[in-house]
Amino acid sequence: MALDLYKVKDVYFNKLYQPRQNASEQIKPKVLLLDKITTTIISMSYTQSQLLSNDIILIELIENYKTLSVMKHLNCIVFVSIKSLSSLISELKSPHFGSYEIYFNNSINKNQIEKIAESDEYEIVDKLIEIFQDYLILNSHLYQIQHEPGAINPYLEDGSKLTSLLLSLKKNPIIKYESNSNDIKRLSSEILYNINSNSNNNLFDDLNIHNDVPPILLLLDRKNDPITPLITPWTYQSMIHEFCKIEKNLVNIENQQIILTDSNDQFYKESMYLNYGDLTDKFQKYVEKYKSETNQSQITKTSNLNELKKILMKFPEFKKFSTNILNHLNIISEIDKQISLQKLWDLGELQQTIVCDLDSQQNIKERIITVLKDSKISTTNKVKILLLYSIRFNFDQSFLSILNDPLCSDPLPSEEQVNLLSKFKSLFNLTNLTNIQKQQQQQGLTNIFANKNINISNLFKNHQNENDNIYLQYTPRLNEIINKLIDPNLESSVKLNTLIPDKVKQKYGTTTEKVQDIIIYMNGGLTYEESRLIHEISENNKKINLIIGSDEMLNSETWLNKLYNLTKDKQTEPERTQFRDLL
Amino acid sequence: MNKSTTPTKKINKISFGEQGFSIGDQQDKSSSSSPTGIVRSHWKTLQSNNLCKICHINLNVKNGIVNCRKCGQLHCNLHTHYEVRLRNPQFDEKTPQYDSNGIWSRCCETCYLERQNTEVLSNNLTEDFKKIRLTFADVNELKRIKVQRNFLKLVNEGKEVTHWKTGNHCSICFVKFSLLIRKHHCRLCGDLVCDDPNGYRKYCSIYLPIISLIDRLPNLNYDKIPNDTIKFRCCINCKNGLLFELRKQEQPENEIIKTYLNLIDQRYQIEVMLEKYSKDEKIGHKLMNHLKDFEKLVINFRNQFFTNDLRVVQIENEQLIKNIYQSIAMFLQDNLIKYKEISAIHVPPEPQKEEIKPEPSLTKKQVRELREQLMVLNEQKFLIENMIKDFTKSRRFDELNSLILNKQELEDTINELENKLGEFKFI
Repeated sequence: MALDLYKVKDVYFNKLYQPRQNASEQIKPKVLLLDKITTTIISMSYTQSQLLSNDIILIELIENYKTLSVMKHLNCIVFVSIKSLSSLISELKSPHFGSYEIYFNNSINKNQIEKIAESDEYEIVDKLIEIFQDYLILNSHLYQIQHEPGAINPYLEDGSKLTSLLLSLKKNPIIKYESNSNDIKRLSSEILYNINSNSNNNLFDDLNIHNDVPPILLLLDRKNDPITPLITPWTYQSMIHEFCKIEKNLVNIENQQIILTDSNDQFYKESMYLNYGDLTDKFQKYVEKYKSETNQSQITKTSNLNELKKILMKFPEFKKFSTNILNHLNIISEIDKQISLQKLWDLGELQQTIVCDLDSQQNIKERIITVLKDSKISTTNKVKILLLYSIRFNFDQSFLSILNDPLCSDPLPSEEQVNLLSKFKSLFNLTNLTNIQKQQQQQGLTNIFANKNINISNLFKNHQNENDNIYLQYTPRLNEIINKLIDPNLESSVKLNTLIPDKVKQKYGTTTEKVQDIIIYMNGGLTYEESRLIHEISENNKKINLIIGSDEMLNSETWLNKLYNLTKDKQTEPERTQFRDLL
Repeated sequence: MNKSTTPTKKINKISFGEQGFSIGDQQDKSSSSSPTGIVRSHWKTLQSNNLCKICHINLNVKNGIVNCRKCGQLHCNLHTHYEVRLRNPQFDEKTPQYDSNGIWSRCCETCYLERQNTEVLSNNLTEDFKKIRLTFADVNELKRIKVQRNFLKLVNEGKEVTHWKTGNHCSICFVKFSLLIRKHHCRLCGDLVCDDPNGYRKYCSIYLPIISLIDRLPNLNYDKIPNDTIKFRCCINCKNGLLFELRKQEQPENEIIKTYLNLIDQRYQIEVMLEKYSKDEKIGHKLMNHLKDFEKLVINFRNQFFTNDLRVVQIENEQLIKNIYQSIAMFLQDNLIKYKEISAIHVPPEPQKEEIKPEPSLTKKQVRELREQLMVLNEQKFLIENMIKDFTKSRRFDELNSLILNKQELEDTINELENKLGEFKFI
């Protein structure tokens, strides 16, 4: 794969810690100085034992430079963001360690280099290197950028973070973005400016050396597909996130923290994209494998003491095995519990029926009413179903009376929920309004009825894949966009604008027919289901390399919360420019 | 998506290409370039039976017989659905090379994927940085000389040496002065600084006895040493400047680091030898000696920095010591099985002493596991002893012998385990 974020991780690891190559090198124990931003980056990418085995014997925060103890025998590796510049300067003015290697996680400008140089009176800085990782690596094709609260200009911040991603992968891309979103438009021009201007020390000038085709940076907006996060997912990774929440690779279950990474958990790696049925089969096999291996080791049964010895020696391995099984068992049983508790088998099927247009409106309506009358189904789940219905058809006020009946719903729907239900459709139609108007102008009044629901109905068009699992029939809109990019002849309602950086234009011209590398950024949040989709597309088509990322990983709960805020915002402030701050 | 059916038109084209190739090859080898301009001299010629390099299918007109333009190997249609940009070989290159400005040419899957390497960029600014640093070196030195001169003046003449500056902000943390945050002046450079001895801004300036600085700078030209009651205010920049030479000096050896350096040195020796050992078993004894030394070092480390109940002695370096300890424990755990094997093979002349002692850094988990094993074994021993009693009663001597042997073996392992557990034997 041409775009493998784990490769980035490895290369940067070697850059930072430089594992010893030969015997002649003198070993020096090292201390690692981080700031808050880089701490998350490091902890997501490398384990503590990896660091320890590379002679990192101390990890400190650079903000605490005042309280560090002096240890001149230690070499110091500084890996910080530019935000910690002032701390770094103070540290260099009265150094605590023997020598310094400074790594920045994004590009820095000349002025900043000068400041560091001025403060380095003791001449203890050996290296000053930019590495470009201002983002988190979740999977080999999935990244996430971190938002800091209170950023003055979020476009600027996000732009520089995405720029670091492009630089780290040595890509100077064509930028394609959804034309109907203001946020994306501003973000795209920010990135284009970053590429074209010389503020990055001309770093972009000689990228793409090994690219036959210009890479594409695809900027999308969550607002254009508000329904994917509402649908209950049925594959392992997404389900974990839906029911237990994956927070920076950590899952909290029953007061216990479980680390989930596909890089050193073979079972997870193999099963993270499996659907629930396949997953349980796989897990059963895994447990059986464990049983057969540990059966031999039952101490009481062995007669031969030599054998016993051998088994005892393997003890740590078994231990690892069993904790891994236990972790996954905990997760799966939690998922199972939630599914039966929330009656998701029925609800899930109903959701798929609604979004994929598998039944008549009348039948669907009847089924929804039975769901609404079931007091055991949580109000949130009912709201989700109604939202899907209201986007597919029009929202029916008669549902509200059932929903508000204290006999059927417990707790009663909140004001936010009711608000959202009545406004959901207009909320997202509104963003597409300009689009529709344009089309109407072009096609005249005759087509007004055909165009009425054009954006909405298109959301449902892409279910034609031959998926026989009734729970996995819905395909996110992302699929359509990617397919359209790969094969421009396909019909699609998606409108993409294109920006081409000067250097790319010089090299490839303005027309390009082939596509190889696509870097996707979904503004406003992404689901693991879409990440799985990307994984599948690139598995099936070796010609295409895809990575995807966002500023947040969504599940239905977090997305609903965002929607509540959004409707609230709509009421108080009709301007749509502030939308992004809430998303 | 990979299996997209090839239109018949394409197949014709391929067989044509294959024909074109064979003719070109026979007629004229010197100018063997295709219409596109990429040379074909490296193309593999057709043999009696041709197999696709990737799927090993028999190549014929139906499957397609295609030369990859890059490597020249023969492939079937299915594995040549790819295109890369190539340029002609230059100088002593033998095959066409990838070039992002080159000509689109058909290639095989292997060559296509080879082209798709993840590259990772990092930018080394060290050179630039050092150049800039050089320009600042003089300025900084000048500043330090000035501060030192002012300090001497202050000590010798005991009066104001600088012009006091005015302003509203601290020159270091830029806090605005107010009723609560009072203005102060550094007596060495005259800059305005704030004073906040206990709070967040406590590092802007300090109020300290002159004598304390004189003690640390004994080599300056003092006329007289003032008495120790005189205090003065000094900003952090001037203090750093004054103590520059002092700070530059080497710090005395640190016990922890010293021990750690020994440890990693020994560890590295072991790693190297382990690698050699897998090829050459003769160095087993040497390796054993290194292991023994390492073990001694670890025990020393533990005795030095930990109390009996595994608490760190030096509180100020607690994290450091714990980390070191953990990294050693990790190294031992990873390789424990190997060491045991080695020590089992190379029974040294004095077996009692030479045998690898249990690593002293038994973690709690290990202790628990070992205890469990011990319990199981003890139970078994107890059972066997009972059986022995029963059998002696019932006079079944023929089975008794093997039982006693069994018991002996069990006892041995129990002893071994107990040794391993050492002080952790009892719960």
